[in-house]
Amino acid sequence: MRWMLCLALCLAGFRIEATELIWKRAPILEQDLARALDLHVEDLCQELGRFSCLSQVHNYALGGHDPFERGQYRPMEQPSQLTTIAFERVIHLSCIKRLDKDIASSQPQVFRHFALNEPLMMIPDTDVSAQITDLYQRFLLRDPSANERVIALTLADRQRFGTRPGRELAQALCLAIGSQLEFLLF
Amino acid sequence: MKPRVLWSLWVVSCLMGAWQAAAIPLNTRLFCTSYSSSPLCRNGTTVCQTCHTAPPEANLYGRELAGLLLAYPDYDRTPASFQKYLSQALDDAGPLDSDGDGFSNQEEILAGSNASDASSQPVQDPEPDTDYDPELAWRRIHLLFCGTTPGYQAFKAFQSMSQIKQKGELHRQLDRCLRSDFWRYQALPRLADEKIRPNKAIGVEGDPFIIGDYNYDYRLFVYIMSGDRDMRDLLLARYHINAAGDKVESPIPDAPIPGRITVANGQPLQVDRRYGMITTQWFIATNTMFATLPRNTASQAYRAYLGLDIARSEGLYPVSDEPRDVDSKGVKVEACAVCHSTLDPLAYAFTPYVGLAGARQPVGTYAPQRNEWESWTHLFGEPVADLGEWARKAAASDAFKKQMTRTLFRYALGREPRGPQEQKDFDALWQKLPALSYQAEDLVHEIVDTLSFAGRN
Amino acid sequence: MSPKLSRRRLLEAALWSTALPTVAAAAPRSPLVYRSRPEKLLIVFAANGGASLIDSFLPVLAQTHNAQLRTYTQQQLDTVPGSAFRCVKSIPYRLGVPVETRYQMRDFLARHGRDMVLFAQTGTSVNHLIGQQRSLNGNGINRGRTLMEAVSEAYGQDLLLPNINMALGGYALAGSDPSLPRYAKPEAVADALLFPLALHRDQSIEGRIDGELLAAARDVRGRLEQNSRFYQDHKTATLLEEVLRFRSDIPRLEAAQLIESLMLLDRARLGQAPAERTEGNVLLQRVRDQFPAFATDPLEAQTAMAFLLLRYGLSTSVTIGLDELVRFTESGQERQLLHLPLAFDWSHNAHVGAQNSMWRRVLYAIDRLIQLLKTEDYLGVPEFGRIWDRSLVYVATEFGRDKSKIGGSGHDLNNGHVLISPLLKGNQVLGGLDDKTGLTYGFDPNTGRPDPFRTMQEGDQYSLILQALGVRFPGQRNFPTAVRDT
Repeated sequence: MRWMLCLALCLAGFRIEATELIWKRAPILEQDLARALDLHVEDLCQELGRFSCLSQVHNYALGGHDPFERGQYRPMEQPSQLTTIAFERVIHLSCIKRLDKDIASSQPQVFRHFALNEPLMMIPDTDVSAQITDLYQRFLLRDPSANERVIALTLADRQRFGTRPGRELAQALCLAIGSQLEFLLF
Repeated sequence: MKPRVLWSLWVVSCLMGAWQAAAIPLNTRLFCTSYSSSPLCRNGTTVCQTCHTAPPEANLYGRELAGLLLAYPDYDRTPASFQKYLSQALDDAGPLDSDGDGFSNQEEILAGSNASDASSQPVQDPEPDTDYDPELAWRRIHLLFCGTTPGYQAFKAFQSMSQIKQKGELHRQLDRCLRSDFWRYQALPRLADEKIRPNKAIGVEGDPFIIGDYNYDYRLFVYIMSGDRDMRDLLLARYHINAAGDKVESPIPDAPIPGRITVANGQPLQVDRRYGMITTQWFIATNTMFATLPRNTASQAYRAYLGLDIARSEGLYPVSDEPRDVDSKGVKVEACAVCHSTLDPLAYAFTPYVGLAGARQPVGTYAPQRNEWESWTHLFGEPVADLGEWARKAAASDAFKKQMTRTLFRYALGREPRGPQEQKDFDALWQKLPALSYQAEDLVHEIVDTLSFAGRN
Repeated sequence: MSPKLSRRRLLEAALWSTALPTVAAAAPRSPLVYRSRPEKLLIVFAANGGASLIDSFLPVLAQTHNAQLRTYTQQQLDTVPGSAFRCVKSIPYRLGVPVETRYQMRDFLARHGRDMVLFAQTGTSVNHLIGQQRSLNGNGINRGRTLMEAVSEAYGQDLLLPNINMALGGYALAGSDPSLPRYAKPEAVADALLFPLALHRDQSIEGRIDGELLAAARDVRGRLEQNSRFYQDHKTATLLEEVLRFRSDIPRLEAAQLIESLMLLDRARLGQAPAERTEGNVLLQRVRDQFPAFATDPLEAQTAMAFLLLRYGLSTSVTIGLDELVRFTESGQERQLLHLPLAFDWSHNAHVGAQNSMWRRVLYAIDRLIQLLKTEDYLGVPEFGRIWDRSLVYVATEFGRDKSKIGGSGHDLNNGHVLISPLLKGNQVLGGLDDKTGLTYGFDPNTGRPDPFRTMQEGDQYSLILQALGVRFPGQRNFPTAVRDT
């Protein structure tokens, strides 16, 4: 019945909007990313090793605004070209930050399902799968579907990447899962 | 040494040039007589951009109307002629499709889309099939008002609840979020930026000049917009919130800072002349500056708290025999009087509040010797005795309700109301504000219950 | 609390410390698009707050009949031989500390007066925001498009960043024409120094995985998204469609390796890149030398960035804007004021001091920019001629100031604007000045002769600027005597 209604409306020329999404802007992205990766906000992404990505460098491109230092009284209305690049950079840099902490720690917080210094060929799929699940839960608050799990596991391609250390796979997984638009839009 | 300061008046927009009959913003109200239910008609008036790109240049729909008007043999482009035929021209233009997008102008206007933009089309919400999605609401509530979610486990726990329990849980979580540091110290203050318009160069960190401390404004805004406070205090509050977070119901003197030129950094205004955000020292200092007639102060108050931007010809209620041009700025010229017949009467109420006028009286205080024009004040075209009556009338108005609802609605959805469902929700929200005792947090609770917020097709 | 930008650290990073080995000149590393390139370039300088023309290049000479006006004595004025203009000399002004006085308007006249046109104009709004918008959109004469959008629409289709806007307030707002192609819309840039970092997803990321695994990660991400319920539920949502469209354009941007080309900060000093001497690095150093305060002065940073964007054929329109924050500079042991609070609008408080200080500030930056544009070939290719040959600088401002000589000044519709371009018939005033009232007046568009009974408005100037840049639109006014034949 519903599809017939939709069809009728479409034929009548009305646009049926999917549920409209909201852009996760810099202040919220900062908080949510810190939660997802178990980092303090100050320890998140930094550009050139010293400039905060979210509150400084990419603040405006990611939907924030600074009324005091920059005299901006409102943020951008809509995302721009720079938004999409900045978003991925922020996720990538933050993933590396978390990874570095976990490598240095005896009790890794996020990347704890396989040995980060072991080559991929030594890491079983079950461990990679567990990491995939963990990252989905952290970023997207859900479990991956069976299909999504299969797709994500293709990163553990031992023919291509078998000699790479586990930390590289971890970084790749973090980027692939965390930089999905499902994490930027809600 | 304080600099000598001699300030000139700051005149708000005058429209000049060959502006035909469309130069009359009264027509924005006439338009809404024909289209009163349109989302494009706020407070019974639409905006110039309904027919213009930037006045006097007409957009596609505006040109369509112009063509229809010109078809009347006795149409002579005078205001009277324009108003005589506008209604009929609107009717005639209704079935036409000015932007060629397949929707008639009437359909577009009634739906709130842009009749001059083919990419803007009516959005149809198939209402019977839009359901409230508590999981979507959960996610949005947490992200918007807490800054983040409690994570996967908490979400799973929520998902496992019954629908009835979920509804209660959503509001419990929202309550928690509205008390979070994120909301109180990060998100909520940002809603005030356009109203307060801080300027670090001359604020409390200014070097060498300090013209005001806008931190008082931010603290007051956050205080009023949280807890069980009444949002009308934004226009009526007779207190301040100091740096310790305490409510102070007396004036706060300026305190010179060594090494700086401290023009103003307190709240010296007497309590009985205090009216919320529109009488803080920063607001008066930076908007009035040295104007004899504080037009910019009035227009900023009008825009920030009533959502009416005179610079865009919104909220025009011309008063007869105005403008008087009390400061000889030439605003009686017809093209200027269009706006100044509303703006000047709006601004008289602010004249006793001292701007950066000199050393005799602290900035932001009330100078009774300057209240000669106060009694000429009008708001919404009706006389008011002084700024107090101005503020009370404004706080009781639909414009205020809509503006405050819009402020929170726009934050929650990331945009202005769009489409029939959102417009319906928005209208229901602002109309309910009195029943909510004008409490911002209660309004947020109402917003999150709407299909606009968490409806899923 | 996230670490705040330290300008001192930036300055340190900006300094070259070692002599560099020479390498043979090579073609620019940035893979530029040669197939289709903009013919003309627009640079908009937003002189925020109300820059008065009669306080710069069209001053009123003090005489007995105009004692009530803002005027200047002969001793306060200067000119250069052959110039149609006069200018105001540097006037000492203090605001607690003295304003720096290094730059003279005369120097600007000497170097660029030949290409300069003053367009006498009366605006239609004394509201900052509205005036700013109208100074750019010609009061709606072209369907609500700004100058920058019109130029970007004409020339920017194949460019990577056709329309860059670094300004604030009304100067940063997009126009209102819904039919404007997406590529011509402005890309807002909040920080000229750091924005290049948003032009590549992984360059300058230390510790990143290599290209093959990175590509695999992105490929997996794409497949994950497409197979997600989120995507299925929202694939027609406007926001998602828009972001996906932007994402599809990323490879094109990244192929240009723009961080290398545009990063004014010395990444070598920050340990982010090898300290090798390449043609790109040499050019960057030249730009840094031309704008020595780029690390601490946003105006210099923006102007430097504007040059790079044009030089590399990335943009056809760049907008530079003043902010309202007070700034200082050090001169020896003395602290000097570089930028006044409220920019030109400080004229409310001290008209002469504010106008003189801010005009010299703006002209200094423009002067340095034009010097570079005159000496660099477009896209680095000699056959394309100098960048300047195809450029136009427009000093936009929202209104003038009132003409009466009483301390500070209010806003006034009557004013004029500075245009500099070899595409114009320079060294002329389009219009005139009534030295009894201090008001400018218009001119006959057909003959170019001053006409005291004519007033030119935003749409006229808008038309002229686009005419000079070879851009046509319906309803455009024509100025045959002002534009060179090309």
